Amino acid sequence: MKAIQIDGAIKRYTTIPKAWGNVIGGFDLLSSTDWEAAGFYDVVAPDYDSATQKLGDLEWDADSSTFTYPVINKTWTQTVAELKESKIASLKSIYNRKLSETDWYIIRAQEGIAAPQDVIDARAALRTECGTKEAEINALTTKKAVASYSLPNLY
Amino acid sequence: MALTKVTSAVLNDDAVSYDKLGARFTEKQDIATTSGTINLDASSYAIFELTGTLTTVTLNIQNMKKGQAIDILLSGTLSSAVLTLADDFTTSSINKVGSNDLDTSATNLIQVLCVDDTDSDAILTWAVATYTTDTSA
Repeated sequence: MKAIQIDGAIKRYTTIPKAWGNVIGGFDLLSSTDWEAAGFYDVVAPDYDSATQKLGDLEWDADSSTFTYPVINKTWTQTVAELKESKIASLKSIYNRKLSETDWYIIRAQEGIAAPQDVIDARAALRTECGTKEAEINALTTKKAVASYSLPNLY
Repeated sequence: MALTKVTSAVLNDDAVSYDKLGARFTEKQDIATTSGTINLDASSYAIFELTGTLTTVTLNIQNMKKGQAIDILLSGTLSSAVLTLADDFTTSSINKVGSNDLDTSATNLIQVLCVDDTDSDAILTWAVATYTTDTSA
C-alpha cells in the first residue's frame, strides 16, 4: 500500500493510480523512485500487541521515509477485577463450548449407556485445564497483564 | 501607400474558405516516434497521430494559442506506455476535464484546449476517450 500527503491530509492507495499529475497514463508502470518523486511512499504497519495496544492515525515518518501508524498503549475503564471477570467468562465460554461437544455421551449415560472412559477422562482434563487457567488469570495483578492473557483456541 | 492589411469590411461574409485557414487549423502530423520527448507543434498542425508502440513518452505541446484546440490520436499500442503531458509555456497548469482515464488497452483520442496562453500563467485543459474505427456507417 502507498500513501501521499496532499494539503496536510494523507490519502492511502491500495494500488498506484494509472494517471497522476501530468502523467496521463502508465503512472503505475513507473519505478518506486518516480512514485516517491511524486509523493507516493510505502505504508508500513508496525508490529503491535492488539490486546494491549492499538494503532493511531497514519502519519509521515521522516526518519524512514514511510507512512506509518503510531503504536498507542490501550487504556481500560474497567478495574482489574472487572477485567478478570470478563476474561474468565470468556475462558469458561470456550471450555463450555468444547465440553458441549461430548455432552450427549453424558446425557445418554443417564439413560443407561455408559459414556466411554476416554470421553470422561477428556472432559475431566478440560475442567482441570480451565481451572488452572482461571487461577492464572486470578493471579494477575495489572490491567495490561489481564488484557494480554491469551485464551486457548480449542476449535 | 501600400495595402498591408485587409480590413473586415473588405471581406465578404463566408469569404474565408478552408483552404485559406492556417496549418494550425487544418494539418495532421503522423508521428512514428515511440519514446522520449515528442514535440507537438500546434502552430503547424491541428491533429497529431502517434502510431507506434509507445513506451515512455512526453508529449510536449508547443505554440498553443488561446482558444485553440488540438487532437492527439493514440492509435498504436499503449500497454506499456507511460505518457506525460508537457508544454512550452514558462508556467502553466495542465488540467484534466472529466474523469476518463487513458485506456491503455484501446485507441485513445486526447483533446487539448488552450484556455489561456499567457506565458507566465497558461492554462491547458485536456480530456481523453477511447475511439474505434467504425466503417459500417
